[in-house]
Amino acid sequence: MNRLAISLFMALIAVTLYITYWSAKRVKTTTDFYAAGRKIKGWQNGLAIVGEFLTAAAFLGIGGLISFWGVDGQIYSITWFASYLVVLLLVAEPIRNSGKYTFADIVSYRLDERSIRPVAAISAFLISLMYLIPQMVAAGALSKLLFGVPASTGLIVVGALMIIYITFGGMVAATWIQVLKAMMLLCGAYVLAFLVMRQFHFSINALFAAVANSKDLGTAWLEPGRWPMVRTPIERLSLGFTLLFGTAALPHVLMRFYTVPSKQHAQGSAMWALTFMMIFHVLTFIFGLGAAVLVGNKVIKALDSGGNIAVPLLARTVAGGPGTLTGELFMAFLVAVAFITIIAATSGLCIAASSAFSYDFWFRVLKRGRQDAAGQVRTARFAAFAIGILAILGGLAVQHVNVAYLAGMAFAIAATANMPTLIFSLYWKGLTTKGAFIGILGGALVAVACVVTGPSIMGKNAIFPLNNPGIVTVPIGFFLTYLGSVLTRDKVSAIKYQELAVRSRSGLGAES
Amino acid sequence: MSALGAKPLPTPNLELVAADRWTEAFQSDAFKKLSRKRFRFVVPALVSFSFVFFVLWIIQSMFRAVANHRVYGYINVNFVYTMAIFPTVWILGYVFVRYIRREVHPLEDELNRRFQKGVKP
Repeated sequence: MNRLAISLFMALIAVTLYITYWSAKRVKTTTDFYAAGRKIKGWQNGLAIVGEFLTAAAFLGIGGLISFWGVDGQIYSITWFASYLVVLLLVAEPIRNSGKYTFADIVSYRLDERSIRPVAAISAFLISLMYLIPQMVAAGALSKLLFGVPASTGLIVVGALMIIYITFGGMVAATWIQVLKAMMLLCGAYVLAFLVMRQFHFSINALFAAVANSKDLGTAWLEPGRWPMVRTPIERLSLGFTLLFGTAALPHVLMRFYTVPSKQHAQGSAMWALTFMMIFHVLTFIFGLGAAVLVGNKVIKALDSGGNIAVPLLARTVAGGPGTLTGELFMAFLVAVAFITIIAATSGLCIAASSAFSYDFWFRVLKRGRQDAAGQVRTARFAAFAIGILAILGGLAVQHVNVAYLAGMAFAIAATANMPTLIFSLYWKGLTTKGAFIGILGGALVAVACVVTGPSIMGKNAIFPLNNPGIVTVPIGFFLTYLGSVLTRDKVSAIKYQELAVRSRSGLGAES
Repeated sequence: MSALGAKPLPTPNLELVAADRWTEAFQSDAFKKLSRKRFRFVVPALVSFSFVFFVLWIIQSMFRAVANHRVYGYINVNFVYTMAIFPTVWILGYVFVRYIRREVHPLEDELNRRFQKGVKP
């Protein structure tokens, strides 16, 4: 199995390296590097967005979660899917219409750029890095589990490939690798769902009956309330609403909307993302419950207490069973795709972090917009390389610590610190530079404080009671930004609001 | 001119629109109508969308008897509700895109024609 999976993985790597080589020849300007030359069509970008979101957590994680805890795990499926409606309604077109490459472009449009862009850039940089490091650690753990190689080796391989993709191929490579991976993942998911449902004569009710009558499971797997993380109403609402609305402020998601040629394509790509997310996420309950019944959750737990092996094991079982050629082959295929998934996801995060540094901080703030095009691309490549090294070292340093909370913290910061400024920039005249400053800084501090004093770090002695602080911190973020704005004055921001409002809503003067 | 005394950085594509005409565009009827039409969809859509999820999560955590009530065989209310979210949200998105294309984009084109650089008021 290991050898088969590794050879399939190698073959896929060869394809992605060819994509990178092809892309590298097309990256000449900064728009090529950060926004793939704005030549990505709606459906392609839709697939790339889905690629960004169908991480190993969605593919392996949700299946494992449902197999251990039952249908509560579906909360991730419905919210990740539906968060794209929020993106479509609130930010997709406005972002494309009024920015150039990054989240900070929007907020520094009306506000005093020299004071707000560094803050926005640091926040985007930290969010991306906090997302990146747990992905690296997960890559290490998964390579041990799936390929049987040491975790550090897996982590370094993933990091090295990410550096190669981004440094040479920029956003062009990142996009096409996401498209390739999203297509393979969707195909794999459909074949797997077909094979599982064939065992139950394509009847959901028969699958459910098998769950209810299994001696290790029971009807509790079909009913909400088993998963401790969402047992209380407030925890459930907090996790749910943070996931629903937080996505619209994630830097690597926003960045994707600059890769399309027009506002129609921006809107179209959010709609395609919604479609592809739907056709994947309607299947997750089949993977989770299927694995629980056909593989058995005790078997899964014995191999991996995190549940990440559930979906690959299910694939082997339904495609012929252990030891058969088809069974081993299908499992190897899914394992290889899962691995490509991780590398592609880390690549998207790497480019978001590097644009925050090289474009926002270096070019716009330090160089004050004065650097030639070749120099900008050179800085961007160097930043991507440095961030890759940083992520590898960071991952190696914390790989034995449980860092799953870092991704939750990144999400909390995005929703609490960035979201209010982004929404107010686009839709509220009264926003001032100092208000945004207070909102981003204060919001980030509140979000970090709540996670650090919460149950995911302090366990039973937690001062702050919620695992997911969003329901408390996001309103605080909005309030801080509002309060800071009404207490200060910013004449320029009020005048420039008219310009940004016209630009963002009508597409007048948009970058082409 | 900026709030903290620093000069704003040049925005490369500003010359696409004559600088003094943003206010005029902002105050034009076409823009007001466009904003109104956009918000008339977005605000109710977001409110009802949030409500659908709110009800689901409340049922799941506080009204378990309702959630566990079986509709057909082993299929319960919780499952039907969860799965119904997929088409509902997708249709809302689709209707939004069609609405914007039909009602809002023509107004945007009008603004673009009127305020592009070189077009005199």
